[in-house]
Amino acid sequence: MKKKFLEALSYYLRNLEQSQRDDILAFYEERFALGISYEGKSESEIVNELESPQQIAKNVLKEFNQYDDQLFKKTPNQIETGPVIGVVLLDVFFISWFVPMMFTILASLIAGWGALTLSLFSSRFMESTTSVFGSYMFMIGVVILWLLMLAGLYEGIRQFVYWVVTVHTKAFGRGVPIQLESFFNKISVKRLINKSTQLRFYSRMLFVIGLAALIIGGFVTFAQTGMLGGFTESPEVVEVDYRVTPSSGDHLRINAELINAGIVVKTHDSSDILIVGEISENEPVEIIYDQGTLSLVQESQIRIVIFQFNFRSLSQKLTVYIPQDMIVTETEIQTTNASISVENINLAQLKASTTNGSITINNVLSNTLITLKTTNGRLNLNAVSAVNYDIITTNGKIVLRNLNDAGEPGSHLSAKSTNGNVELENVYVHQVTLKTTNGDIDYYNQDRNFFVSKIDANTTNGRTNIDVPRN
Amino acid sequence: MDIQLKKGVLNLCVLSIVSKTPSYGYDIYQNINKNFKISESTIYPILRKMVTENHLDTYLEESPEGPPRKYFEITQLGKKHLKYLLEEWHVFNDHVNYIIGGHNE
Repeated sequence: MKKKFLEALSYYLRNLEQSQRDDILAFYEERFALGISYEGKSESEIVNELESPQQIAKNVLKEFNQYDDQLFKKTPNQIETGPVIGVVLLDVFFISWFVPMMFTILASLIAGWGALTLSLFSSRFMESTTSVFGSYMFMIGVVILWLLMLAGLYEGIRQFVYWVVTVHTKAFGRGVPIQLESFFNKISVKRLINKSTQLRFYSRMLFVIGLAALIIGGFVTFAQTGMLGGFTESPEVVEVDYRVTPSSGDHLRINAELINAGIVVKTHDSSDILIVGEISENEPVEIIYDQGTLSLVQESQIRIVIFQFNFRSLSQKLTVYIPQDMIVTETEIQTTNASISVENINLAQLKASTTNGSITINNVLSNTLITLKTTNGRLNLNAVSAVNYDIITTNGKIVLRNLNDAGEPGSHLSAKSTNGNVELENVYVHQVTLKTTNGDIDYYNQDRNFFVSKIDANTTNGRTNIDVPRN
Repeated sequence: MDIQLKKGVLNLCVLSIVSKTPSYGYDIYQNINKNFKISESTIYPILRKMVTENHLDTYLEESPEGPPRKYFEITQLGKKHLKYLLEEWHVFNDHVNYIIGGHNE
């Protein structure tokens, strides 16, 4: 009886704002509860006592100045074409893409958050934290907020779907069917929480607790692990001083794998191999010399850094001195955020690559191939001789001076850049391929008696200026 | 009693009842209904409007005999408004009495 009564009342009040309607319904709900428990009446007795839902709705709507005869008519309203066309357009042009898009975004949001939450439970995170208490607290905070956010998303979807239903039923001149509406109300989390003051209190407390756990736990954990860079000391500098005497007859092979350290390779007037420089304590370099193979490997301690407040960045650099008369077969150098320089040396093959640094090769003689690669740095070669050259950069300039100036000319040279100029001066190589997209190409040879057999120069948005004798 | 006459003074009645002691919706209704018959369904929207206008405040009171009841109490703003309505009422009452009295003579 009570349920039917309230549903009917809700229906006739359908044009009221939700909160107004809720309040009026709450009065009547209270009215039933009071009648039953304080006066010992039955639901049907109370219903008889009260005015009919229609009558109540009429009075209420008049009080709120929203009375409209149409609302109380038994027959459905005339369907007007305007709103129907409107709702069809809405479906075709908005809902058709908005709903799938929303669900995609939501799915990725949920997946992303889920993954983040799960990753916090992973062993690496736990190992990297020194404060177990802090990290558990942080995780609890994340999980609580994550669940609350899910509840919020759910509520948002429910309201949106309800809005879509309302728009459609209104277009056809009807209100939302009572059963459907009470269903939507039933599945509302917000309504459930607002119904009871205790639940409302608990949900707010949960939010505050979650937030507090997140902040305090996060602070304790990250401040201790150094993930909040601002709270860590800058790393100490470690001096490198390595000296080894190679056995006579050793042929040297250099293999360097560095991360943030720059490297200079040059010869000196001694029979020892000497490596000096400065390295960060967090990124130690392991140096091994074994029967002609010199290897330098830098290890990094992988850390998750959220805020980096370190303005003073440490510049790490190693200089490798090689005995002047030692035969070098192969040199392979790799680093990521630093420069590479090779000077005054004779070797068989040179391979150097970096990502955010320049490469400079000065006075080097190779009897095979020189391969150089960087992404965001310059490439400078001066007084170099090799048979083949392969030189690539993306955002840097390539400057080649005096290649194979004396002795045999080179065979192939390929120099490629995307956003930099390519400049060649006195480059004596038979087949030259030069390529850039957003830069200029310049090539000039002083020796007018040397004929380049093939030049393939190509730029898209720059100018090409080649002044070289060729056949 | 005429419905329009009643409506004009409902606000005044509700505010004065609540200003004496906080009470719940049904109680307010019964209090007025004892004196002159009104429809229950007009009281509730008035109460709600008074809350949104900050003339009344609400709180829930638990009761050992049954479910909690929503009590209305008057706010400072409500007291001011009540004072204003009372003055208006007295002035109006005087004028009406004067006119009626004059008519009788």
